[in-house]
Amino acid sequence: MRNPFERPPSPGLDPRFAVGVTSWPGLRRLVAERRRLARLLPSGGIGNVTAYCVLLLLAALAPSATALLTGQLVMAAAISPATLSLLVAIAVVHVVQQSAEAGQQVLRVALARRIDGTVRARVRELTLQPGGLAHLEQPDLRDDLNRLWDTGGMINRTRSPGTATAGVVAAVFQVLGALAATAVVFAFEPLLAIGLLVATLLIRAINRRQWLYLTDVADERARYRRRVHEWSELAAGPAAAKEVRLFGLGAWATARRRRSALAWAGPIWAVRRDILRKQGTTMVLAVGAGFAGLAVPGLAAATGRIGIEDLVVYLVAAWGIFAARDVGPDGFDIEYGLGAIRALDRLIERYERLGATWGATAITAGAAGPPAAPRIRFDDVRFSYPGSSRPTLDGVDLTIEPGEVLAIVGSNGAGKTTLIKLLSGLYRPSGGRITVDGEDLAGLGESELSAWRRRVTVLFQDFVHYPGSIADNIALSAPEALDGEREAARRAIMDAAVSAGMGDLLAGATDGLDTPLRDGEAGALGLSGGQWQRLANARALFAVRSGRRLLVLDEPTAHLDVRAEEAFFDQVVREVCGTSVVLISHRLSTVRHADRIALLRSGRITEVGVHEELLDRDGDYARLFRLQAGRFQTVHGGNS
Amino acid sequence: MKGRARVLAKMLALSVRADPKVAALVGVLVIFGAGALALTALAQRWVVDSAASEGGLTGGVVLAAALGAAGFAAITISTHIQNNLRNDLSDRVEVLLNQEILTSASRIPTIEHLERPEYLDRLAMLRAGGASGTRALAVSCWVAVETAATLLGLGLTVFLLADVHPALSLLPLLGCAPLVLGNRGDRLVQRALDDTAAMARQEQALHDLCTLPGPGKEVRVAGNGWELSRRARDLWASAARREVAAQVRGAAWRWAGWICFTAGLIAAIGISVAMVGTGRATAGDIVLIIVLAGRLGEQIDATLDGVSRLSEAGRVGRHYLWLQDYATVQTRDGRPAPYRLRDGVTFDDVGFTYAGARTPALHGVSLHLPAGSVVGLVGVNGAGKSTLVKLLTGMYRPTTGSISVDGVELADIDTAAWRARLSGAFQDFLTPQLPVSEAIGIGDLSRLEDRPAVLAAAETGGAAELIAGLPQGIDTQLGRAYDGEELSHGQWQKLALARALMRPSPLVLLLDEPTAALDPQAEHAVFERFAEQSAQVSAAGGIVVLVSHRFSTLNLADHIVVLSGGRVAERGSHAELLAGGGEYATLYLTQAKGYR
Repeated sequence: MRNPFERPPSPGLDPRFAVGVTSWPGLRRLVAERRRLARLLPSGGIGNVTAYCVLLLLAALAPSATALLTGQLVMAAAISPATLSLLVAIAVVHVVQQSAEAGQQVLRVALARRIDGTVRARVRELTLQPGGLAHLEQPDLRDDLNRLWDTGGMINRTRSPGTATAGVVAAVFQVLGALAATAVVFAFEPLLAIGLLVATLLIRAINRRQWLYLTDVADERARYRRRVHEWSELAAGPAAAKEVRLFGLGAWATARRRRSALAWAGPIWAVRRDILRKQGTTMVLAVGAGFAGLAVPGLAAATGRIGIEDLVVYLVAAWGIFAARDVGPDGFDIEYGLGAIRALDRLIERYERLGATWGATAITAGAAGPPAAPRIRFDDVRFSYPGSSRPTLDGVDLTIEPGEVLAIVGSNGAGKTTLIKLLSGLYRPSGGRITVDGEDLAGLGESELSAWRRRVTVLFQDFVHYPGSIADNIALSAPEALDGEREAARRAIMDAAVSAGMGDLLAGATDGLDTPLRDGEAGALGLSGGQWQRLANARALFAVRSGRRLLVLDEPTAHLDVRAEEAFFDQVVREVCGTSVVLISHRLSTVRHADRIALLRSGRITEVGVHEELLDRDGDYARLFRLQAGRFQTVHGGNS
Repeated sequence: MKGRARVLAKMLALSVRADPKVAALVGVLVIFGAGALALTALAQRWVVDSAASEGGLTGGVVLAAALGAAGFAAITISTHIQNNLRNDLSDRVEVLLNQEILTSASRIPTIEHLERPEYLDRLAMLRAGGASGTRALAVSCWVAVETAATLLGLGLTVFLLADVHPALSLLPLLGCAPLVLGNRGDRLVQRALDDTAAMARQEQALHDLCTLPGPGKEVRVAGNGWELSRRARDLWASAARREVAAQVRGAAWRWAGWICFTAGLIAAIGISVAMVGTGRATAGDIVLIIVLAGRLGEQIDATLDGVSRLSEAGRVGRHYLWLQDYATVQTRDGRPAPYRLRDGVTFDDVGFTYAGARTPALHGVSLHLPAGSVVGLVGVNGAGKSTLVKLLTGMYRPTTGSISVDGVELADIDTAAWRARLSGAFQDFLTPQLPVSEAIGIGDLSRLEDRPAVLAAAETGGAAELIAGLPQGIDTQLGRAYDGEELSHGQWQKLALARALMRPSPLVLLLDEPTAALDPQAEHAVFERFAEQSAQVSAAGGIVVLVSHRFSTLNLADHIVVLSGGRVAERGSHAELLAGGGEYATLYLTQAKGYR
């Protein structure tokens, strides 16, 4: 298959000429990366790392020891007590080597998993750190996050940062083994020893450079990968299944996936093929080194300068040097995994620029006694999404009084959800200010912001399905409530569940509150859409009862039927007292019961008031209400 | 075993299809490498023997060294090329494999498999790619070739050893010990990985909650990120502990195998030393044995690695075979769909039970949807409305009873052909991260590029104003992850509705809660325009099915069906039902009361 795509720009050094380590940038990069790895290593556990290194060292030295012992054996060349003890010595060396190899393999996995666990935790820490949300939506950041695991849904074990780190350490010891073998040859012929070592290391460096170059080319194209995954999901993912079938999109999406996979991989393949043709230098080095390694000791023995036993030692030792010429079949995986560590570094750098500090602490328990419902003021608040030219909010003035039910009405895309995101500090306004009890939200530090959020609970349209039990799915809306007495928390969870109408469901569930809920997981309870909605309501109730005194409901009843909608109002909105409620809804029959109604239009609040007032004013709200109400009258009049 | 052979045969066929030259080259290189290894070992013996012979044969040494050098260079380059080529080949095979998997998966006409955890797991594994997914399968193509070639190399080693002394040919037999015991250890590790797979998935889900922007908003407001992260960390740690524990046991088995091998090696060296003593062997033979034993160890290692990869591939391969078989079984040919409806669609005592559910979602549903009518389908959550829609579109097949179209059983009509004559919008609509024109245009692939058609559908679906407000209009890329525009839920629904209106004159137009997320103004506008649209559809003999629990939107319906608890509770015109005072009237009045 000829590659139909453009040649990529060379991101690294051209592997045809550069040997990598012999060029300054290459050497600097190598040193920097090794230092980076050295910093990552301790997270694998000091004990693990030490044991791993010791075992690798034993395994690396064993071949040289075998070479020396073999020489002795050849000299003895008859069965005698001396040869027997030599055989025992060789056996011991072999057993040690095998034990070291076996132990090394276990530790390699242990090390890799621990490092990966730490890296994953650190990535979460980083991404959770900033109070805002905007950073998570940057495409570059998403690419780096994907690059870190390179998964498309599942954890990649072979090319992860941990595996790469452990692999590099093993590679270092491989070179150490070659050095030991070099020392053996050195005793015979220093020039030959150094020559063989240099040739071996050059071959190794060229191979490594070629992998590295390929990794760079692949990394340059990280963005294309996301597309490939997107098409896979469209073609065969569960979310798209119905429309894909109805509109017959399967073959089309599959073809598009293939196209994007080729667009992603084509140039990488082309570079790989190109690299394969460039083995001339390696060939010259290998022939030269191979010949010298055999001929020089061989001729020395033939001319009687060294004994046959020494010849055997040097031949075996020379082979020991050559063993370091290639990292092995995992070479590419290691280089690729190192790319993941580079992605981690870019992430850290990015977050440092964002002003996040290291060593974040988890949210500490709140001050004694939950504070009362807040008074919130939006003062000429403006906001545009990054990269978007049109302002979403364009001068919003609005007050949310403590304890009131405020409904927000507006057309699709008017900025209602954005308003909530600003209110909970997920974005900062581009202009104007939002104050809570007189304090500017934008002026809050990270910990004050989390303290503010502990006073808020939001029931989003696309609420989260937490992988855990029913209890988890309720209590995670106010994790601070779990710090207290366990029994009390359990009771509160149960009460919230029952108030939200989950009593029947709980009675039927095998483990009550502890029944696991996991999407698509065998053995777990699967809930219908309506049941999930009730669970989400319980979540909101639990948060309010745990002291969160601002409840925001974003389109909570869009998919509920008439009865469930009524029940929702009774179970949630009327249930909470001493709490401010912000209710976003298109159902004006629901909205009319609010204490006040605000109409958001073209990024501003154009009308505020009680339902009757607004109807009297005969503005947009009145028009919208009559529009919805009128549909009932048409039905009435039209058909009867 | 038969399954594994089938997978291997498939993978080999795919490799040849991906790139026949490379596939052949990989095979040749492996054999070539084995030969070159033997060559270098022989050269080393020759050097020693030449040097040791009377007077030292310098010519022999030089010749042997040249031979050895050639062998060494050949191994060095062929392993490097081989490592590159197998990545290359498995990359290409993976593309083809994904192609096959997606084709099979999207070819399955029903969606039942997507709602059953055991199937979902399999599909997720196949779709995921990565080392535990298609990659493992793609890799198995060259693993098979290489393992075969390694066995060949093993034979060559046996031959050379037997040349020194027949007893030495037993050494490779002892090599079976690490193979057998190592394989056993490997199975322990694989089983541990299987056992921890669910944990790993849960950890991934928790990790995603912390790092994805979608759930990020709730996670931040609730302030549970640290708790989620802690749980993910614990899960990871305990999964790792289990895996490492299994690795320890696996390593013990492997170690035992290698100790057997070492015992054999020491015996072999002992024999040859004794033979050197009696002059029946040379010092070169000792070198040969040590070098060959080293090679043998590497080959056994490679084989073990190959076998372990094959068993990993076998696991994924079983899912792959399952998918292919399932897709084949589920796909049936049938009669063409009618061009125009004469009579309509009839449900005859239809029942449906979801897999694993105790109670049926629908039972005893008998209905006639007359050609050229607008049918309203109402009922509370869980009444069975969406299930009925899915049956009508062939996403499920009825458990009992039958559905017929103009007297022909729906089951006998080709599902793809039937669907090509339908259109619709679902409650949980798609949010494709594409340019707007494609996000709408995929509603009728034949007119994907037909901009006037796309614009017309956008107009009718109420998305025209939205599109006009986007920076590049209809060419605007959607999704912030692609540097595009992010839409609100309601705006996405407008696009979904526009998509549903792309096909010119469908036999059945299904609208499942098409305006749930729309604002009052937009909803009103949609229904105003929609009246014309449905008039067109029904004029062409089509049926419009409108599912809603908002009764105000049903004034277009000629005929209303009320579902309750999976049964048809009532039916008739709005006026009849209202007068009847049943469930419909109750629900209607409850809702209307909100607007008094």
